[in-house]
Amino acid sequence: MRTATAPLHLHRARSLDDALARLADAPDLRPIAGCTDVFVEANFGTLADRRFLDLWPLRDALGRIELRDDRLVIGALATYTDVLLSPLVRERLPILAEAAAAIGGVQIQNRGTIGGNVANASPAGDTPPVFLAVDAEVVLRSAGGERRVAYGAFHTGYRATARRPDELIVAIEAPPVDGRPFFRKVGTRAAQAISKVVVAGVRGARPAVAVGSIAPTVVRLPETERTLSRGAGRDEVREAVGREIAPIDDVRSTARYRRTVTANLVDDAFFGDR
Amino acid sequence: MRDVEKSWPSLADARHLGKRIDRIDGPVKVTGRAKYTFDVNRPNMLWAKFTLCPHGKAKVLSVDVSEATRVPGVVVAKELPLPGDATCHWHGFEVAVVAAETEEAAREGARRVKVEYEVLPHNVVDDTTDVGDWVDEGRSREQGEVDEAFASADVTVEGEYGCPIITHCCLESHGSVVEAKGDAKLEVWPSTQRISSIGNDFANELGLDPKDVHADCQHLGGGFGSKFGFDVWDKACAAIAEETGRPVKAMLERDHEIMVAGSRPSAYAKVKVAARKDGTLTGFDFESWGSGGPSRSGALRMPYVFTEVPHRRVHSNVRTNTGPNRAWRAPGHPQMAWLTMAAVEDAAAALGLDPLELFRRNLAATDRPDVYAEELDVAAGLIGWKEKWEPRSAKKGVVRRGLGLSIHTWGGRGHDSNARTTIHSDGRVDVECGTQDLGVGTRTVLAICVAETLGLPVEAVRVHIGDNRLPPSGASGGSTTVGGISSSSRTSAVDAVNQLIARVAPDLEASAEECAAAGGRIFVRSDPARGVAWAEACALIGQDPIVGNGRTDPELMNSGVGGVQMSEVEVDVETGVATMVKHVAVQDCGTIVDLETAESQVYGACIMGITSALFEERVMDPVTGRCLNPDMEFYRLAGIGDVGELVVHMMQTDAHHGRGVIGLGEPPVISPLAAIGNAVANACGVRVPRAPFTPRNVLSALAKGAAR
Repeated sequence: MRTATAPLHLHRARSLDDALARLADAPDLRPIAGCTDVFVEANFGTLADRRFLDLWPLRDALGRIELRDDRLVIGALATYTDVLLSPLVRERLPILAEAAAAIGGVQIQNRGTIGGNVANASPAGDTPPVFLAVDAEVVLRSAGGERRVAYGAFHTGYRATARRPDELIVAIEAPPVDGRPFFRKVGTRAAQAISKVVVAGVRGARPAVAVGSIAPTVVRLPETERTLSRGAGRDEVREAVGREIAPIDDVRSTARYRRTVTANLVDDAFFGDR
Repeated sequence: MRDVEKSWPSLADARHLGKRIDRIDGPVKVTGRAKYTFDVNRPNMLWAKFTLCPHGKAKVLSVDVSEATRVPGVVVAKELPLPGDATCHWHGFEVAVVAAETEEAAREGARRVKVEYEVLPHNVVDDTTDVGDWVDEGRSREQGEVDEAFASADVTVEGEYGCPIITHCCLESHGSVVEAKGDAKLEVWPSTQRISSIGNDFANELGLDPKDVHADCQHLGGGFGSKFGFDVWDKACAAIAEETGRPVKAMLERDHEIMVAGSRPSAYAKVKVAARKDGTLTGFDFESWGSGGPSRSGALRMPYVFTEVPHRRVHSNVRTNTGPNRAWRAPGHPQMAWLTMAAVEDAAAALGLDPLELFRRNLAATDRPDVYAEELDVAAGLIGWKEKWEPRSAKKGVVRRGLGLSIHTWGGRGHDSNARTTIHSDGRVDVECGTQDLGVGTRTVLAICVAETLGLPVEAVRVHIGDNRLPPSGASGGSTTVGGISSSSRTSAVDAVNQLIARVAPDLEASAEECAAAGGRIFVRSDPARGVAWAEACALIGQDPIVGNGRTDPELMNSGVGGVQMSEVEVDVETGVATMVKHVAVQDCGTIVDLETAESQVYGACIMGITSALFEERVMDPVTGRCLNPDMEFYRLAGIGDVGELVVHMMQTDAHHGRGVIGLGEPPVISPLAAIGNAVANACGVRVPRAPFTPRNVLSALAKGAAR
């Protein structure tokens, strides 16, 4: 049963300060932008929130993608399409463009935002493994000021984050990548498919591997990374992956498929010849 | 000799016939002006929604609609008639209907109907015959000396293959809008594949005179065989419209549609093939089973196409508590093609032969050896078979490509159809036919046939279809429409134009037999300068327009086609993801009316077939008997990014053109599953026995293959 929309309240933010002030007053306000997740909830009748803060008018201020102190700064309201079209992203973090291209279809890419993908905190989200693999930071702001949270500390549980109700994600910042990054999403068709397994990582002196869709949050695989950095062989690496993840069966895939394919993807990224 | 001959003009003489002509209703469709049943909204209209049984099988003990009637906006809430045993036989069985002022209120009302059930034992498992009493064993049939064939075979190959139940998943779901007009008259807008006769069912239901029911369906968002019925939702709309005097609209929700409004039976088989070293097929043994829901599904008549090879077959029917099957585009054929062609390809692999060579070697065992031989050559050239094909054993690496092929057959003779062509004194031309356009270009076919006959541009003809007040025409099923309507419209236009010529001829000082209509003029054949323009000729008509009547003419149509399809796929053996690279379809269909919409039919069929091969399956929960994926996230269809490169080649020589018109809706949807399945096997190096070729099915086949 779809959620009835008549009782819902929408506040349109006039400025970032206005948005932060409203959030400080009413922490039950749910910030929204592209609404690509909100509409899914409404369609399934699971939309619990009643009051919304529309951030879309702040796109000019929070939708920019720029370089600051050699760090790539993605404004929270940058859409997947913005990311796809950004020469800076292509140059500095091409796997983010790959992830953006893999999300939904063109309509979703035009509306969905990076901040929303991170805030929504789905374990199957496509951009979180990228940010996690490259040690990004989430920039949060409230009426009281700004703070930064390391990406690895941001997702605290299934669909739970370190964001306080009075805070907004204003940007994600990624440091320069030391090594060759990779991204692989295994969905069930070319577009409009949610991941069965999604892996991002960096091949280099400090190997990094982040995986989505196999745990309550996107996760790094530290043991696998240590195994890789000491130059272990592929069998050992596969074993490390196997020990480190404990996926479940659900509507999108089976534990067995996820375990096998995660190991295959890591193996392919670090030992494959493609 | 007639002035304008009934027979189709030759390829060389035709002005429109067989050319590439844009569909005439393209603009109204892409601009959203085309009105489908889903778009029909009447003043003061009620929406109807249904309360569905949530169990695989359950007896209804009581239905309480009192809470539903209290939902603001609800006007009618009532129990629906149940079968004699008061039992719902599948998840999604309609138990009650609620009509309300808004769609939302009707939905809420339907949710609030309280139904008490006694849950009964059910079966939804059909991929095995190990389901106790739910199986009806069939009779064994045999043709030729089968035991001898296997005893003397150089090689015997055994395999097991299958494909699950899939649904029609029409873009426009099923439904109707019904309006009582007073004076025992009814106006209905059903989404139907048989506009000429559906009104009679509404009339019977309400005890009306059939001529007092006006049925209108201008555009149909797909049917594929699932929209012939007069269904629960149609009956409910009719009853509520009569009861309330208000228009009522019921369009199925997607979950409802996927659960009950049509499915294609599953098919599984253990197959043995006997062959000689040179690839000659000498015997088949099929032990097949499948399910089409609670009743019997059609038996599978295998071997497919290679019918002359000695064979034995036995088919068992598995009864399941799932929404019943309906005709699905080429009923039985895609399944038979898959179960046969997979076994044949496996035989080729076992013999170390190129399957294309093995197919060629066995064409004598088919109905149309010459047609297939030519089409195999064309298809092989288009996909680059000779350059690309490698045996399974040669495949290496993570991402592997493979080629596969399949061949198919279909009848496609036109149905009974009537048409009327009217020429007005101002030069306007109307063609009327009580047919329907399932989205395939029916209007365009009618315009082309009439314009060709009258010697006019296609856009000069106005087309009227989708209305039961028009000359009756058959239901659109079995690829029968184009043969029927092309011949009825042709003969009606011949009748009309010959009447016009008869009036004009005296002014040209010629006999009617000496005149012709072409290039927008009526003129004397031997002296084309002696003639009048179309408008001038029509000015002679006077007050009463010329009316030409026509009906299906067997001399203008034919039946029996062959087709070849080849597929190239890429399989990632680490993820199990199979991706389409290229798919080639070569098809004959006799006289092609419009090359462009004919090709479009084939493109659409290939996409539908690719979807069935890679994605589609209706998943049932064995414990609860519920359908687990009645939505379009988990009942997956291919997107444009999934179909790869499609190449369509229509056989259009003088010989093909001279055969008469043959239907094209079904044949090209038959082979994709088999061709893709064979390409996946060729790429992986092992057979993936069960469709769809999802990552999980591919990886488990690879794991089993590696363990062997």
